[in-house]
Amino acid sequence: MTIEPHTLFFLGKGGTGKSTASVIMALELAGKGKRVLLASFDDAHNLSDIFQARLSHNPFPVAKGLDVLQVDRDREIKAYLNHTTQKVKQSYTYLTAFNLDNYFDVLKFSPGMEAHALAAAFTELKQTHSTHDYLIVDMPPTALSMHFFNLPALSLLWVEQLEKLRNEINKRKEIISRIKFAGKEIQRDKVLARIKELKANHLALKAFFEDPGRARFFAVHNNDPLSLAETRRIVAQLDSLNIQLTGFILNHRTPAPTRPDITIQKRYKLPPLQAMELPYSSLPLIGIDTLTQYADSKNIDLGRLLQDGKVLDSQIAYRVVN
Amino acid sequence: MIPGFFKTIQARLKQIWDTADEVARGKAVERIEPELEELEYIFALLTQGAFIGMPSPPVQISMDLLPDMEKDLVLLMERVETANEPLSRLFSVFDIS
Repeated sequence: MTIEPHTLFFLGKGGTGKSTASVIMALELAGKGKRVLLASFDDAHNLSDIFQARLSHNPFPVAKGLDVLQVDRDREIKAYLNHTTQKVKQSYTYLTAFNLDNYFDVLKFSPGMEAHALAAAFTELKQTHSTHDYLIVDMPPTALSMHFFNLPALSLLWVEQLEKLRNEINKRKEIISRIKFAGKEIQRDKVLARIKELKANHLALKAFFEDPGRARFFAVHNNDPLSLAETRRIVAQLDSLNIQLTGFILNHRTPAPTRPDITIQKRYKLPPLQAMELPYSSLPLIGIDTLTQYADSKNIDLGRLLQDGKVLDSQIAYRVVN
Repeated sequence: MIPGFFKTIQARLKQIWDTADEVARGKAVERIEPELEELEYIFALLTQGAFIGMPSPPVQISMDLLPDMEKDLVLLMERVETANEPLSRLFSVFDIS
């Protein structure tokens, strides 16, 4: 069995408080003696502002047991394209490789590259920080996050079809070789081997997302109609990818009156999953001391979302409220 | 002298047999070979179509397969160059003159 950190994803509309919620969760877990790596996948660099530090792709220790890093998508894309260019140059003859350079410059701006860069960064983080207990991911706004979670399923659609086609090609090659060259062994198909490798990687990532024992998903929202509508869409989209949302975090941006008699879900027509609230703060939540004081004074215990192991089937729950 | 004569006959017969065998084997696969070529072309077009101006699958799939597909890419480029003569290709596959 591979050792990997337990992963918590924080999703939601831009500006709802994903970074704040993920930092509170990270500080809480680190305070309980866990080793936590908090990674921002969001280009907004909110974690740099919250921790008042210049974060990079190298983990930076901000508190005991808590390391923080900022994933640089452009850097990841560049590294990936460079790696491919090197491999092409090694296996191609000089002229063919030379002609491809211009295309690579254009591919940098291909829309799919961003989600792929995040997936590559995520897989690497999981492997290189296997000794951490928790990997907390502050996700980018919803559209890119959904591309990221959809990436393995979408890639598998393609890879499986390409594998079928490649097998057809190899079947014919074998027939020709058997008849024409009296069964002389044909060369191992490198492309098929690579396709199988890609398929295994995507299947592994898909299985990871779908396993609540390894990955948990939290949707952070406010009490305004737009962020709630987007949260309901997040639930539906994750359902379509067979990913279970663990719970909701309602971040109060205004001093709203609380109604303890009505659950958050009923109030906002959300599926009956676990939910917690982050009460309104009149002070800007910046810096470890301010955040710790805020969490202590308001008795915030986001860790309860993890202890309460019961995860409901969000698809069934979603049908109920609709 | 007689063993030498037989040896020549044997060699001739073997030559005839080999030629007949080669022709028969060639005949047997002459339909599969163009089919294989077409499938390889379709595969290249599906995965590396972006390089000849066709929309392609998720870009990372093309990129991940690219280092192992030089032969396919060359085939694709050749096809683009001969694209204005599709009928002549078809006629040559079905041996129509």
